[in-house]
Amino acid sequence: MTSIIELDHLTKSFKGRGRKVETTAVNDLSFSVEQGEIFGFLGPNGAGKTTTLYTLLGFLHPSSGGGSVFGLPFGDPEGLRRIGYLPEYVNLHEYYTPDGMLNYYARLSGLDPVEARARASYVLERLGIADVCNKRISKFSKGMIQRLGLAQAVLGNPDLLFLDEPTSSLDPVGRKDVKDLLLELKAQGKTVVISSHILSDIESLCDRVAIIRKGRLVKTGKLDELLSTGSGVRITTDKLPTDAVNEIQQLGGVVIGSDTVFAIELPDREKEYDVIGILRKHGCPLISVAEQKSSLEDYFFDIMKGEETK
Amino acid sequence: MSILAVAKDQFSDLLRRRYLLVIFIGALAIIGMWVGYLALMKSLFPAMQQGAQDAATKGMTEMMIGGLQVALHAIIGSIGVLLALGLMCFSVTSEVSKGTVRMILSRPVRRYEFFIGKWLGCVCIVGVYTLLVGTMVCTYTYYSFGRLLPVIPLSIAMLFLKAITVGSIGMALAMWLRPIVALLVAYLAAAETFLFIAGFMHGIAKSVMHTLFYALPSYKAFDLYTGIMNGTIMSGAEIAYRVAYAVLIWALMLIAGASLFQRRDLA
Ligand SMILES: Nc1ncnc2c1ncn2[C@@H]1O[C@H](COP(=O)(O)OP(=O)(O)O)[C@@H](O)[C@H]1O
Ligand SMILES: [Mg+2]
Repeated sequence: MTSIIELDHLTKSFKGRGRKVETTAVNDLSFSVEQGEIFGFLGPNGAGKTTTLYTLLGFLHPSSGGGSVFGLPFGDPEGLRRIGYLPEYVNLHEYYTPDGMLNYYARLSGLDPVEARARASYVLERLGIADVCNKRISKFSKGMIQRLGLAQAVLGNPDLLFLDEPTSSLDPVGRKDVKDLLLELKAQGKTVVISSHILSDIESLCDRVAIIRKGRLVKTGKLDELLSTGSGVRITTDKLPTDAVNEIQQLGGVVIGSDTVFAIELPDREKEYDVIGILRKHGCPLISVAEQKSSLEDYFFDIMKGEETK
Repeated sequence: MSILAVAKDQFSDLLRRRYLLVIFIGALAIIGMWVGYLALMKSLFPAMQQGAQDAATKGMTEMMIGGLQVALHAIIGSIGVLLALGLMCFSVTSEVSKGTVRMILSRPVRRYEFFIGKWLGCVCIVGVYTLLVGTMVCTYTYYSFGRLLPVIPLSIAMLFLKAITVGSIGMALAMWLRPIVALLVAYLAAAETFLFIAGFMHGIAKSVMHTLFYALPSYKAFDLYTGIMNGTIMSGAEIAYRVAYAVLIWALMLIAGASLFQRRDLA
């Protein structure tokens, strides 16, 4: 695995103007993003996600620390050539049509004009805005602008994609389209960094996440690892005599259920086989044994609560 | 390449602006009114007719016509300067405040390329203005006097140099000051302003003003009013000197502006 993005103690403060105090939007942030993964960059509003992406793209100069993208300094044109970027708020020159706009961006990217035109019509088709490609952008809805922003981001077939809150202004259909597109890109070996405060959007997509809060890294790691820590087991059966219930309760299990389905919840996996032994002794059939993962959402709130009390 | 793409975008964006159309039409209307006014004067004072024989009358007439011509050039020149200043002070800063700049700079475009591209786009618009206005003034002069004095097109070309010079200073200042403040400062930062102020001062203040007069760029160097009055033209060397002077200021302002822009946080 090669790191595509390296953040090394990145700090970014904004000087306060007038009566405003200085804010440290990103504080001593270090993590790396590997090639070919979908990397979730999570945090509540104001956590510093956008500021971090701006710094990676060279719009902001770090106050201290730094890092690299493709082994190059932030904002290096050679790196940008391989990057696609979808901002949180897509601001396009409204006098363009999608065709005209993509043509302008293709020229800025130094793409071959003929190839760029073919690619533009493919991308517009793929994102479902081909039928409005000759309409002025000023007449577009927010969702269409978001799609056009995404079309611009993937126009040059980039190796690395930065998406800042990509699903925030899309309808459910649009969200699904974006998800499909991201999975397609991942299958092609592209790297995607996707920032969001909407956890359910990211959960099903990301290989790894970094969670930040008030500019500081709270946690980073593989999604399954983060979520399996501290999670228990749930065993279901369709028969459970009272004797068995008592024995299980003595082991610390919680029994939920009616007379047809019983679920036994254990806080950890230590007593898993003891419980299965009890069930066998009483001749109760095992229907399922499953790890009980907390959702990313639960995890997120747990972490935030923990931080709050610190 | 990127410079040209940005310049073309800036140019075609501006061409679509309604206020620009208003300015262009306004400038042409002013010239039209001026021509009408001159024609009216001529018909009211027959002495102004071409055929006037008496030398004294002829001299008077030429002075009057010259004076009117100078006023006309001063007006279209001021419009050109304000146009260049307005376009250039806001060209980069408006993209920063709208946030479009980040979309563009996420492409492999260096900041100085963006800056120069914006500048070039504005130069082209001021060029279109100069061509429109210049063609009209030259045509009118030609039909009215039966010949085109070379000083007229030269004066128009100098107005273009002046407008771009003042605009470039404003564009660089706008990377440091608020655009509207930059516009005012650039407009007033002419060397001649401080010579004028020095006239009201004494002692150290006066020397400071004089120092500023020598340090700051001269805008008056591009005004050919005496030439228009006398119908005389500058030497080739004098023209070359002015062109070089203008280009030098442009280069300095582009370097200063682009480096200030480079250091800026685009949040
Ligand atoms: N240009 C700026 N000047 C001052 N403060 C800023 C600026 N941009 C962002 N901030 C502050 O930095 C913090 C992080 O903002 P941001 O990166 O936009 O968060 P997120 O994208 O995670 O919602 C916020 O407290 C915000 O107010
Ligand atoms: Mg944000």
